[in-house]
Amino acid sequence: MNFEIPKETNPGKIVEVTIGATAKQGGTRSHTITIGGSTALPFHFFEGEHPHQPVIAMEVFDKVPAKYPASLMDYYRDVIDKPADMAKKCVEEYGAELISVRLEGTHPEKGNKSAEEAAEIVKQVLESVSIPIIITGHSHFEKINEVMKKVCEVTEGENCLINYVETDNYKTIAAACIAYNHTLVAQTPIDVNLAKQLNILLTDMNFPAEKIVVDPLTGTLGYGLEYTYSIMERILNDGLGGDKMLAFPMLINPGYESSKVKEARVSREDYPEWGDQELRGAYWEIATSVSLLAAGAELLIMYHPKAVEVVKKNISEMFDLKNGD
Amino acid sequence: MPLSGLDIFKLLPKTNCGDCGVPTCMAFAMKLAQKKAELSECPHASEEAKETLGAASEPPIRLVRIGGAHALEIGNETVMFRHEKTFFHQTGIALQLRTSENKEQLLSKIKEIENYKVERVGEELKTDLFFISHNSEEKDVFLKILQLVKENSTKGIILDCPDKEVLKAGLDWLRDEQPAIFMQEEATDKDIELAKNHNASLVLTAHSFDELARQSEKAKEAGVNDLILNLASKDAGLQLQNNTIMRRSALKKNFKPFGYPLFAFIQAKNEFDFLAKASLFLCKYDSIIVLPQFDEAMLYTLFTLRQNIYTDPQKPIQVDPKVYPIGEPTPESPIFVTTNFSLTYFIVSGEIENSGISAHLVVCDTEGQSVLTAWAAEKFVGEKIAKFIKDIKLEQQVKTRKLIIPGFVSQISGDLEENLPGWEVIVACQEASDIPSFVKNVKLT
Amino acid sequence: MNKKYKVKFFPFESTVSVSSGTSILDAAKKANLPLKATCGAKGTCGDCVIRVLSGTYQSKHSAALSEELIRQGYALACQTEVNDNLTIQLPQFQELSIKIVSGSEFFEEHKNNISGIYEINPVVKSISLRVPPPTLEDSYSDLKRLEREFRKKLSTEDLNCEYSVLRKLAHVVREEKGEITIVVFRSGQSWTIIDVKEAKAAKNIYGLACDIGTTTVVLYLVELTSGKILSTASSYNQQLKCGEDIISRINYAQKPDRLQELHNLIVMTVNNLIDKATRSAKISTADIYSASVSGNTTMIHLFLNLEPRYIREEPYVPTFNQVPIILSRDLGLKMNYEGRIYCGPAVGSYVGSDITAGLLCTPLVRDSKKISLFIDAGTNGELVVGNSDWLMTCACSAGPAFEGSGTKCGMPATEGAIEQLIIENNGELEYKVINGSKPKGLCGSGLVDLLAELFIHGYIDRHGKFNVEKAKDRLVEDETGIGFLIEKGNNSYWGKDLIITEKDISNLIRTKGAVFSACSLLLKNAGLTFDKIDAFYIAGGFGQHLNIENSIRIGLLPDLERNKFHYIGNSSLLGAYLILLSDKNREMVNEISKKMTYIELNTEPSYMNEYTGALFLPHTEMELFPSVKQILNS
Repeated sequence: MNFEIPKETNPGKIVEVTIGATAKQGGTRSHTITIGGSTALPFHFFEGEHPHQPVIAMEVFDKVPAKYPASLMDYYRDVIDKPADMAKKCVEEYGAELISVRLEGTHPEKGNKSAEEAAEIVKQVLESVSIPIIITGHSHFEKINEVMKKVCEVTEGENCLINYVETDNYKTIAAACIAYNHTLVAQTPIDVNLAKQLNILLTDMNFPAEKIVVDPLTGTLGYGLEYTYSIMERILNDGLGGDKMLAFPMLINPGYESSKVKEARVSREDYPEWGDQELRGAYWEIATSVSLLAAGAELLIMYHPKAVEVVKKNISEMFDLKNGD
Repeated sequence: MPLSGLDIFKLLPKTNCGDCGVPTCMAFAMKLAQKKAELSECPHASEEAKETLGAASEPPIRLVRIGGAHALEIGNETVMFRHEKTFFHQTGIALQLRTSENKEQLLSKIKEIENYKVERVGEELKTDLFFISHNSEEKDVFLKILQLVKENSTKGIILDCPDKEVLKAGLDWLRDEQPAIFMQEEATDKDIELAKNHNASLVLTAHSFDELARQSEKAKEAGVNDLILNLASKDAGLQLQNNTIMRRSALKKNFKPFGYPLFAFIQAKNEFDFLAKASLFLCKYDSIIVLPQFDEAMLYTLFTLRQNIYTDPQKPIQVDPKVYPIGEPTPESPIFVTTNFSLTYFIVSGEIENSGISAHLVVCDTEGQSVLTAWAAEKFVGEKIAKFIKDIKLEQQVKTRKLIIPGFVSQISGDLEENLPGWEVIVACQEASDIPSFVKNVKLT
Repeated sequence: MNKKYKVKFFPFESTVSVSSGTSILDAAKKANLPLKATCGAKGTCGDCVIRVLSGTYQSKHSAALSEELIRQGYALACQTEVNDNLTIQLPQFQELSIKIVSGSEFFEEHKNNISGIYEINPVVKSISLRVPPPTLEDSYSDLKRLEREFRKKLSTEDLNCEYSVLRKLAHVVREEKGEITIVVFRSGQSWTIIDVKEAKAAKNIYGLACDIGTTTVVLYLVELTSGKILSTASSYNQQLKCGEDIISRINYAQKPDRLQELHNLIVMTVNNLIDKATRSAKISTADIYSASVSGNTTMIHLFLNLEPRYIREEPYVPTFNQVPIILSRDLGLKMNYEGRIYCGPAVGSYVGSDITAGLLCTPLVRDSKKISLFIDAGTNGELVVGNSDWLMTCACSAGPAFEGSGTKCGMPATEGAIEQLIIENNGELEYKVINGSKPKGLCGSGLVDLLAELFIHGYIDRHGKFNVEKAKDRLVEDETGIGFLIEKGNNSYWGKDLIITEKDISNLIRTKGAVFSACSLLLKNAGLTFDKIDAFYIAGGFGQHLNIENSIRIGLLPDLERNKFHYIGNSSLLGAYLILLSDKNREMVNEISKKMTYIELNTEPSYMNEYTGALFLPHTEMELFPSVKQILNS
């Protein structure tokens, strides 16, 4: 029996989304980054187009995270409270392709920094690195709306990725993104319908489709990954299947999520069967990232330098296949 | 093509006689469609029904067993994506032993691997197989390792032994153990005969689809049905594509030569790289992964991933109902109550931890349902929670006499207090993400 | 020393004793009555309006109540102290006069297109006999002579007689020269004499058809020889004070004595309706000999005083599916002492005799080729799909929004309810009120219209949130939040603004989402799609007219040819009426129930996915609603 490769072609295509803007485009970035554009499942080079590789962002903070694992702190101790320096280190030493500035410190119960302070930090990061940046907020609606409005305004033209809006709080931030020309993350909690609904609401207010990135809300390995994984596969399948409201590139947060869990924090003495703590922290982030890459993630915000290195290398190796053929 | 309940119903007698144990023919048809019943349970089924349903129920990917009494089962998968139904037989994790290794340490290594187990959300996680490679000149070492493994372990064995004489001796040793033979090269008629005579399954290795298909057909014709397919690929990207293509051919094109579980030998530069590739293949259709060395952190990570990928996406994972300490609670620490749906537990415990306080988290048995679902199904109500708290003798473990319940079930607070004299109930916020601010603003003890 | 006064609340007939100076609102709370004040008893929201029927009282002034209403005896419970024995009516729960389709009209029109049989052949009959007085020659006993005469009219082997009949038999047959009327009850081939009367006594006998809903109870009083409906009565189910939905009632019943309380409340509700119906028809309750009752499984459990808790607990198995014939005196129902009560069969915990009886009023079970879908959108939504070969059914917890409960502006389809509504292009609202008074609120059909109009005209987005820019002229704020103004206070019955809030809208969306997703899931289970369905029969307490177009626009019903849809109103009551009229329907409804396959949605994993998909207007998948898409695009 002669074997014939069963190829499947899809009617749909994931929207191409570009983050960042060069001087020519009205910003100050040295280059832009584009994700999306595929017409087949991840790494299925034999049956479709994958014009862009998944990219890795690393994250810096406006205030030292309350629960930052010791194993990570060892890499960042000198810069953890200096977001601009930390960004530089992530880019130059660890190969970050984008920088996410997490503005947790503006939350009224976590520091209540003002919108102006936040804007200042973002500006410093923009000055210290030349790659495109992501601005990551929180769920205190009133405050984050104020902060994001300000940040969008002071970064006008930079085409930052504003992370995130949710179904119950999208209008203000989306309007700011339109006004100051930024790209937006639409975040919904692990549900295909909710993801689609928010995308519809955004496009219904004339938000441009090529400026939407979807965050299906990552659960990390062992903490909801079983749900996220399948929700992402379903979103991608539907998007490729021709559902335009689900055909957006997806962002995940393996770094943030993995750093929160017990596995990243407890010692081998307390949990001997969990093995080496140092390795475990990186492993957890790697397994989360790679499995979700297989499910369709295209933008990963990561923390652990070892994990970044190996995931990035594996993505390139896989894409060698495409370039080789 | 799977038949729908209505398709099957049309083949049934339509008498609603109930002889099958289900009240109506339609209900029985639906159970058949969901593969929760066998047609033989209907004493009145027609020949036509038997024929039609028989053809529809043959598995597109064969179930293969490796090992004796506690054999690992792999294969018999029916979908490309777990959300379409579920993945049924989880990837077997094998540890490699080599004849070139330090002999003195082998026994302790085998014992260490054999004894290694770790619990996660109520499931005991262990490795499944030994992958024993003959890569030295000393012939008897291979048999020696086999003997050690057989004496000290109940796990299944895969033999990787290019020396056919030694292999045969090993297989003779493992008569009743249903081992698997890993072929580094194309399987000859002799190899196939050997597998057949020793009731072993055969891992076929090839370098192209056509070659693999040809070997698979040859083995099947010779009477070896338990096959595992290894399409050796030059890199991970190609391997991923090949795995997908073979699974798709078996499931969607009914291409019989690929209707078997898949195997991939991972080549990696270091442990991080290995894990990345192992994670990828665990998600994408490998039924056996061979680890080159024993590393608890690696195993625990892969076990967790395997548990995540191979859970039925339609059935919630449960955690053990008991009192969990968050931080370092004292008898005076506050007490939170929630359900044993794993995600609920993880989110609630995570948010209590984030709030920076220490507390006791009482996780009640709701059969894995989330708070509102469990409440609606009568599993998270005053009477049941009270009974659980009495059963675990919480009163003797803590001094606090206040229970904090999720805001979504505020209506049970009266009932709970009534059933638990001496306790006071505090109704918390509805969403777990509000716990940190709830903790700040409310007196909890 | 504080003096104590008694406060009695109608229609619940609950009495509490409270100290002088207690507010009526607190007294109502003490009586465990569902009287709420969203403003927190500040006297501004007007929700806790009551009417004082007797007793003296003084209220603090409140702008939330018009002078006219105050003159009529209305007051705010939170602003009125108890300083006398009071009798109080809760107008929110006063007697209803629900507009109901008349059974006889419905069946005259549809008799050729229903599964049941429209004929008058009830199980209880009155028969005139002449029983000659005993003589020395004819010394058979009274009963023997009666039987002999009876067999001349109807040949039967199996004739029994109730003890209560024996007790008066001797007397009756000796009066009026043995001219008597007997009332017999037939069960299969066996007859039982359940009453004997002198011939001069009224010959007419009566029956009841009753639908016990979670929220409302409706009843027909029927003249059994002609099938004529003499009167109709409806009211809230008095169990409402013990919880609004089935689950709350079951929970409530789990305390000692509370099952009895719920049982008493429903019997009282039905008895009140019987009183009302017999009064208006000027007949005696003693002439009511049979009753046909339908209701969801829980309501029938409570009506029969049976433990309902196992309905809620896995594996969801009720005490009974088929109920034996019950004597009216065992339940304390105001009927003849020997009255027979029949409750239709249930199929599962959440699919009861309201559905099996309802199916009689549809052609679902007649045809083996066509496949139809039956939807009863009550507090619990129930669905049936199939044909004469097979039937599949399921239930979903839809919520009482379409019956007028659970939303601030909702009300049952009774006097003062807006039943139809449109929004003109200039933003003006046009509506039609039942009985033409000032509007009190909106019934189900009005709410469907309102939601559809708000959506189609862009006042709300697909998520049900206000488009502030578009709606700003009609958005008003009260203590419950921001709402869309339906009618200004000076034009509304209660004198305060009639508004719909985002919370109300999301409540409606949840209800329609639950019904629609249960529909799609049921069809998926059967391996069908909507386009394979030949006809849809929609039942429920929406009111007399349900606008199909608008039901599709909000995604309650699928977007198919409009002539496939048939709104049949309260089919549970209509079915109970059919069963009352002919025993053949009782047999048929038992057959139907055996044929039905019950699907438990609680254990159906993909339900949640279907449901979240349906929580959007008209649905997350706009492709499912091409006609709505076209309207929005144009």
